[in-house]
Amino acid sequence: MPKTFSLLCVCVLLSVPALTVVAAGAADEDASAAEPAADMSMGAYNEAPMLAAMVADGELPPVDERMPLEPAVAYFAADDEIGTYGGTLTVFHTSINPWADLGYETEIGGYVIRANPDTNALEPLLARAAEMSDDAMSVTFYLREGTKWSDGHPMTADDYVFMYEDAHWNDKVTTWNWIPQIKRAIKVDDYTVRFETDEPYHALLAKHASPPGGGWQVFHPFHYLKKWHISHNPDADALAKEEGFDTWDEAFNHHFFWAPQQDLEQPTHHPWILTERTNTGKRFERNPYYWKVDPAGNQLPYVDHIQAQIVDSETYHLKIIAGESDFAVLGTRFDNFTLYKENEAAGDYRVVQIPAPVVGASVLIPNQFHEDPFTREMYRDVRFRRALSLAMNRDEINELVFFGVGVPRSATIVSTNPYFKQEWEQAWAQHDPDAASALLDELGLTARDEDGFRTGPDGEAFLQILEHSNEADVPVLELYKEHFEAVGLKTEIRLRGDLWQRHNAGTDNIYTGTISSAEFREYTDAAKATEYDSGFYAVNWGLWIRATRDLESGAKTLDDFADGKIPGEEPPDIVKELDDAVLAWGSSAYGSPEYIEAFQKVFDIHAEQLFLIGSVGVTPNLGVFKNRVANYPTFYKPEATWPGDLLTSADKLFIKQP
Amino acid sequence: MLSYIVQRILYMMVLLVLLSFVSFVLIELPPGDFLDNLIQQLRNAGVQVDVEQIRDLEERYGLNLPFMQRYLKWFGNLLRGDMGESFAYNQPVTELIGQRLLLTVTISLLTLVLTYAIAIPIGIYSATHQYSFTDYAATAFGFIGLATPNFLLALILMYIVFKYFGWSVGGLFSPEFEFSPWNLAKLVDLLKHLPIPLIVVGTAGTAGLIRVMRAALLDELRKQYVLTGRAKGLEEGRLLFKYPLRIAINPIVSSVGWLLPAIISGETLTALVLGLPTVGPLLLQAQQGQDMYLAGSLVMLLSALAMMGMLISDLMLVLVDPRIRFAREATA
Repeated sequence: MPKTFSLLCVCVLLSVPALTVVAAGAADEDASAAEPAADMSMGAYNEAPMLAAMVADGELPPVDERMPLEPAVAYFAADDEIGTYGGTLTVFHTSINPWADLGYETEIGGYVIRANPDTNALEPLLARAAEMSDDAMSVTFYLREGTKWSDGHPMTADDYVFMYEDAHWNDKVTTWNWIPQIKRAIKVDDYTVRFETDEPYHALLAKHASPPGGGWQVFHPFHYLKKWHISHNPDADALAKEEGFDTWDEAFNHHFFWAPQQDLEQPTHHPWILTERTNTGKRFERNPYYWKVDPAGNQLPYVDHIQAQIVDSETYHLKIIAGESDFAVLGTRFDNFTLYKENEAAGDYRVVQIPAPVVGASVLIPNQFHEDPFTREMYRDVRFRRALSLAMNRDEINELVFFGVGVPRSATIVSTNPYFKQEWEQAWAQHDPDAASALLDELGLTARDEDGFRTGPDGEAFLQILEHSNEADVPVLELYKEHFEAVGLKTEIRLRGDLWQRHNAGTDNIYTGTISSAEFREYTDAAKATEYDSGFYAVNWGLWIRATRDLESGAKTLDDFADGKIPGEEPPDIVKELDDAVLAWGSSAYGSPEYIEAFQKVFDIHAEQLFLIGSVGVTPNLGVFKNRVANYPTFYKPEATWPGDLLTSADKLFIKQP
Repeated sequence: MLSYIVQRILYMMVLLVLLSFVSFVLIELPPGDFLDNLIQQLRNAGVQVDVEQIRDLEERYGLNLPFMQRYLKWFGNLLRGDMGESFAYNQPVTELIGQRLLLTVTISLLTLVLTYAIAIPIGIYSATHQYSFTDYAATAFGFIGLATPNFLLALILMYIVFKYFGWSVGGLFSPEFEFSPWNLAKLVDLLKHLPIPLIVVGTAGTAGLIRVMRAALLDELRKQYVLTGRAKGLEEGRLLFKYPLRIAINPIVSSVGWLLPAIISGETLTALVLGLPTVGPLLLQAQQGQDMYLAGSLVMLLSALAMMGMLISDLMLVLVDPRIRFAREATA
């Protein structure tokens, strides 16, 4: 029997072993703790003048009928203010895609549950309450009765089931961000839905506080889309042909897909509706049926319209310093910090440093399966990886590239994690070129060519090829080159558009890329454990380990694999040990002794093995906000996985009256 | 004459088929494809993309097919006037180009008119008043104009306009007019944004054209028939405009056709710096993002226009220059 406490606040930092229930109480507390509302008698909510006029004209039902019986209450930090309605925010995007400032067509309402930034506790948001079973094999969401899509149609359990059965699990439909462990989606009644797994999955509930819980346009209106889906309309193919498509899935994807959104009629549950879109701009208008209020009972969002202009990425910065952009965070670049600052007064804006959960900028991953036997032998030798790490002058990188605001560190979990150990961050992270040279000498790399570079067995300089796919990495890579060449390793930097594919095929040299997706406070732990699993840094070992596990559990037989052989390559014992610890980390309850032990073992091993070599981390994101804009984001929420999560509280932005 | 045109058009078709293949190969040449770019974007946006999803996407975009099959599919559609669909925009290529065409052509034509209106008179004046102060001034301007990279000029002008006039820079419209219907305010807004692109794109063209005009006219002015005309007492203005100028304009006429693709694509680099919503940046983005069909179709379109342009140039020369006309009639 599942435990159901109401008003329960599960404090993760206090290591409560089971995250079980999330009830509506926490949100009500928010409301009562805030300033007394102007007029909240009989649940009468306030609305924007723009909507009030439409209600008076009979175009819209009254606000109380448009909102859930118990609307969600937005999180307001101590310095957030109750806003005033109206106005238009101007933003600039650098591509047609929705992952842009106040973009996301415009997906900034938040997820089905959230983590409270003050207490770290999970609490309901789009759902009224949520509970996970004791065996961590099912999670039930109790939806807010009366929640509506932007066309006024009720949002119900059908929409949640539709999301899995007809979108995520349908091969012909492109979606992202589902939870693969979920195997069944069950409608209990109109306002209750249950997701079930085959195996215990302790992050099942917490994971819903991240994009799979409703971000990235995960939720779609069943009532609107069903006529294009073959499972709900046997004539969907005919309808598709009528609309000029070949098959139902083409038509469905056209109406459903959102990157970029083609069908502007598709209702949303987010605070603004995309009303106009061209290839040079987008315009959004407030959603009259939005389901969230501020602590004073005002329906959100405050701002009426958002207009976005699509510009070149260089023009983006020009627009910022000209003071034309109201809200810029996703396209800002740290190397433009001084540029933004210089024009702060003239542009009438402020530059805000938002500390970000960046494990490391331009983290190096030497390919453990390099085709050249000598290079492979070197990359597999921990002494070589340590030499690379010791050769790096992280302080210099921090000063030159990050203006000294980052933290020189090895590639490990960020220090805000409650189970973090200081020694991980400092492991092999000192600048010690002599020790690096000594390690390289010890490896037999003593012969040098006429330029002073260490040579391989072929007499040529032993070349380190740093591959990157993002121009932003180059300043750091240039410094690595200098540092590595100082200890006699000739280094080259190469741009590879297909780096990710090469890395996954084990055909790259040294992969470089920023690892920024580990959370500050480790909510959706099991999902993010992947970055520390061999499946990420050494694909062939990962394949072997997964296949072997499947064989041991009986889930697969040898016949399931190509040629009847175990795919990948058998890893060394230390990697098996590491991956077992990753598995235990992901499958034990958060904060339990097994959890802590496994978690710490993972990072103990990584700190010594350096499969990933870090440089400088915890570098801030820059937010540039016009002075007239209030309630802008200043910190990552506990559940945040990437800068886009800074937008999930954009519904409380407002424009200050002069 | 007609058979000549038909012959030329036939050659053009063969050339276009070859070109389509070469351009498709070139677009395919860089490692990786559109999906790699998409995956990189998604990863930067914090999404885990697994192998199965990549395979689904490859299938959806038809990227799993062998090269020749993809080429033939694309080329077959092209013959039917279907330029394919852009991966990045999820829209037919024709629509994408169409949206940008009007503004591109407007800017290009305005620049062209401006260029000619400035360059031809100055070129004539320079030639007829060789080594005068004004000639030197025009020459100096011409060399500076030729030597300054357009994008640099664009950046400097943008800075000046932003710093001293406080106008919105970049793009052709201020954000608030992006979706507003056409009205006086929007037109004024557009006019405020137009001078920089016109000046920047126009400068290099003007400078070059002045030199060409001056040199060609100088050559003619020294010829005997001009002396004869003058000796016979022909009025100076009439002498200039009736004979040498008509010949001196040949190099310009012969290059008019080449401008056709340039009118459609606009100045890519400048447009990029200025943030102009024209076709040039679209092509650049398509190539960077390996948006195959968009890039391929645009290259094809521009190549076809270049060939058309050359044909038009040749035909115009025939019309303008009687010597060519008579030579051809004599051989025919």
